[in-house]
Amino acid sequence: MRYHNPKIPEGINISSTHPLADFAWMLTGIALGLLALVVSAHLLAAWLVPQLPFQFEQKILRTVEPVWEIQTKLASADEKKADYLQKLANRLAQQDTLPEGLVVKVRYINTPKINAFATLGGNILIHQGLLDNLHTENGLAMVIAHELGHLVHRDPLLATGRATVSLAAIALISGFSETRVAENLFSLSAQSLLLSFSRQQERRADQYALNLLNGYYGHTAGATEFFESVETLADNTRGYNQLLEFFDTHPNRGARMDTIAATISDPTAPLVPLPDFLSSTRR
Amino acid sequence: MFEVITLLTLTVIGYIFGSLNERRHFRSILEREETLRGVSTFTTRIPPQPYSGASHLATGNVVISIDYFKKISAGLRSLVGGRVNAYESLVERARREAVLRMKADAQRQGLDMIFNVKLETASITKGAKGQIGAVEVLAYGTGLSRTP
Repeated sequence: MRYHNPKIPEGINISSTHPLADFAWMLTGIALGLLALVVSAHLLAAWLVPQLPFQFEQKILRTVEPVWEIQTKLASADEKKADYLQKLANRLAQQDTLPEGLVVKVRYINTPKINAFATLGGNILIHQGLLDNLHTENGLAMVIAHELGHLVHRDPLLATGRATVSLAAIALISGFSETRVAENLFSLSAQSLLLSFSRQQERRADQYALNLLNGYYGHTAGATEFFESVETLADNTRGYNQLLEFFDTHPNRGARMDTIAATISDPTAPLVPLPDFLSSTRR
Repeated sequence: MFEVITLLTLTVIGYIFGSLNERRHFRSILEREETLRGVSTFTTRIPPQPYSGASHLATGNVVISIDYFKKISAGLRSLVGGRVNAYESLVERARREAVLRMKADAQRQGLDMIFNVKLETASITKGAKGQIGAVEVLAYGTGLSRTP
């Protein structure tokens, strides 16, 4: 038997693709796939959300301890303020026929944060910091009516649904891949999704709020009060810190203020002052 | 944001050092394969002619670690399927290095033929979470001499 000792040619066992090119192709492919998934989920959510009854939102809420429950436990509750805010919201809501099943519940939270927002289950959260920076009922009514607009348009459910889909997509990917790449890369975008409504949603809610104000007061004067006080507050550090959350969730405040201001037909109409008990003792 | 920067930095460092190391290793493998051509390896268990000289066990063992770039690259690959480019070169290096070390071991013992060559592979971390993987290859066989 004769034996040979041939030289084995190189490159049999290794792909000729450059590792960077390989990497780039995979990354683009996966990113595009993910994008397609999230975009189609968003479109699907926009179609699905208005068809879900309000009871569904309440059902979701029952599975978690809502953030306001925790916050009202930490800070002392104030029945008088909560009652006043609830009654104002009810009077505003009467200007429109609310969709079936929507029960608006206003929650007062005693923290210096300057913000208010609408969330699942017909809940509107109002922080003390916001009350301290308003002087007229008209200004407060605009904020509450704006949040009512979000509720009527089902914006909280839409935002939650979209965030959930995005998080599910991320979980899917990080579950399959042994590394946590995807999770790291996309956790940022998911967080911002959870917090904010789109510009279009904000504009719609503003429009809705102006209609309610017009019905309730007969004019929309004072509607820009909150925006004006935000602009002055943003100039000093303390005010800026208390506004951080508001800035995060409302990126386009300048444009919104201009739009609202443009619709005020009777700027000299008399405004209703806020009762004194609404302000915190700190002032 | 911090997480993304960490990830990017690790990947870039992994790529730079990983590919430098790999290139240097392949160069060294080619060189030593040439110098050790005289030691022949066979997969048959029994030599073709009756043999009565000395026989010793020849072994070569190597552990090679992946780098962060390979890890990320393979992680992405596991989503879409296909040839894991990043690991192919790693396993190739480990296998050839192990065979080379086995040949060197035989040469040290004055032997120039290795029969019944076998390769064993093992994963050091066995896919444990948060660990950087490493592959072990062990090559072994029975070393004989052409001039007993």
